[in-house]
Amino acid sequence: MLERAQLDDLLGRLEGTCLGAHLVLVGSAAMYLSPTSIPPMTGDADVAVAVGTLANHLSGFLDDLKHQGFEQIEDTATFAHASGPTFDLLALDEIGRGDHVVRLGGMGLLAFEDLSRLVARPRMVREVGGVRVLAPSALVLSKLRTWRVAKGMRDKVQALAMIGDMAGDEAFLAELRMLVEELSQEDWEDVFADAQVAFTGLETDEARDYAAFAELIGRGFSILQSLRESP
Amino acid sequence: MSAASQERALERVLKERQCRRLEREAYASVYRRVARLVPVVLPLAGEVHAFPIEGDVDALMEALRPTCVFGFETALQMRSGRRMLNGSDVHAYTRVAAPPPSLVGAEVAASPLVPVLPRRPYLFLVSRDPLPPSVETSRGRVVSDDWMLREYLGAIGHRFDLLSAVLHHMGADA
Repeated sequence: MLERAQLDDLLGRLEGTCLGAHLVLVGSAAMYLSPTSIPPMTGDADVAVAVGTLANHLSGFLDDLKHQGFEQIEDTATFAHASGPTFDLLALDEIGRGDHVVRLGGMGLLAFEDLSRLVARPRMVREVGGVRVLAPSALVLSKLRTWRVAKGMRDKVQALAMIGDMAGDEAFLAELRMLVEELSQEDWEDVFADAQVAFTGLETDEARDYAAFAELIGRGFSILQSLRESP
Repeated sequence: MSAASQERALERVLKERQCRRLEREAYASVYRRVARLVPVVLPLAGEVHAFPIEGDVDALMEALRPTCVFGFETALQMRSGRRMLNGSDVHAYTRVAAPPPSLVGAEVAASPLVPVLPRRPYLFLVSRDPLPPSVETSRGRVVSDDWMLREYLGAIGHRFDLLSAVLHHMGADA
C-alpha cells in the first residue's frame, strides 16, 4: 500500500525532473491531496502528462527519472523506485480519439479521453502543497467514468464514498453537478448504472476494503442521483 | 502491462460497456424499476451472525417469526414459493441476535451469502435497529418490495434476467 509519506517522497522526486511542473497527480493517490477522509488504499500513483510535452522532452525526462532512482519496468509506462513506491505514467491526448494507447519511446501509455478532457478544463487542476493535482470533483468524475478490466468497481465505490464524505462541501457538489450535466445522456446512464453495480464489489476482494464505508457510499449514490435526472 | 496488453484490455472494456448498454436496453422496464434504488449489501446492512441450521427449517422460522423480519431469498420464498439463487438459507433481520439454540449450531464466521457450490443451509441473522420496512404475510413479516429489490441489487447487481423473475414472483412485473 502506498503511504502518504511515500507519495510525498515520490512527488518530490518527480518535481526534480525536467517535466516536474507539467505532471498532474490523478487516480486514487490524488485522494491523499483532496479534502476527504476516505483512504485511497492504492499500491501506486498515477501521474499524467500531455503527450506533446512528453514527446518533446522524453529522453531528458527518462534520464532525470533514472537520476532520481526510478527504474522503468520493461515495455511499460510503470516506474519503480528502489525504496518501494511505483507510479504509472498516463498520457493526456487530444479529445475525440476515445480511450487509447499512446506508443512513445517503446512505452505504451494509457490515454483516457475523459481524463484528458477534465485536465484541459479551467480550475480542474489545483496546486496543493506545490503539487499539481486533479480537483476533487474531476477526480470523482474520472473514477465514475473510467472503466478498467480490474479494479473498476473499486474506482466507483471510492468515488461514491468521496461524494458521501464531501456532501457538505457545496462548491464541490456544484462543480460535480456541472461536470455531470455536460455528459451525454448515454454516458450519464453508463455512470449511473455502473455506480449502482459497484455495490456488489463490497462483498468481493475488489472493493471489500471499503465495506466499512458502506453508509457513505449509499449516501454518495443518492447524491449522485440528485445531480441529474436519472432513468 | 505492455502496450499490446493495454490495447487488448481497452478493447475488452469497450465491449463490456457496449454489452451492458444492450442489456439495459433489452430489459428497459426492469432497469427503470430498479434504477433509482440504493442497493443493500446484506452483510453490511447490520451486524451479521451466521449459524448452521441443524433442526427443522419450518420450526426455526416459526421460532423466529415473533421477533424477526424475513428478507432476501427467504422473503421471496415466503411470498411466492420460489428462490432465485443457490442455497436454502434463512435470512432474517432482528434487533437482538439470539436464535433458538436447539435448532442451530454454534455461530460461525460468515459464509458466502450466495453460495456457488451446494452447502448446508445457514441462518443469517442481521442485527439492526430500526428493522427494515416490512409487510405482514400469512407466514410472518417480510421486507417490503423495494427493500427486497435493493437486497437483490446488492447481491447480484444488474442481472436483469434474474431481477425480472424476482419482480414477476413478487407479483410486481415491471
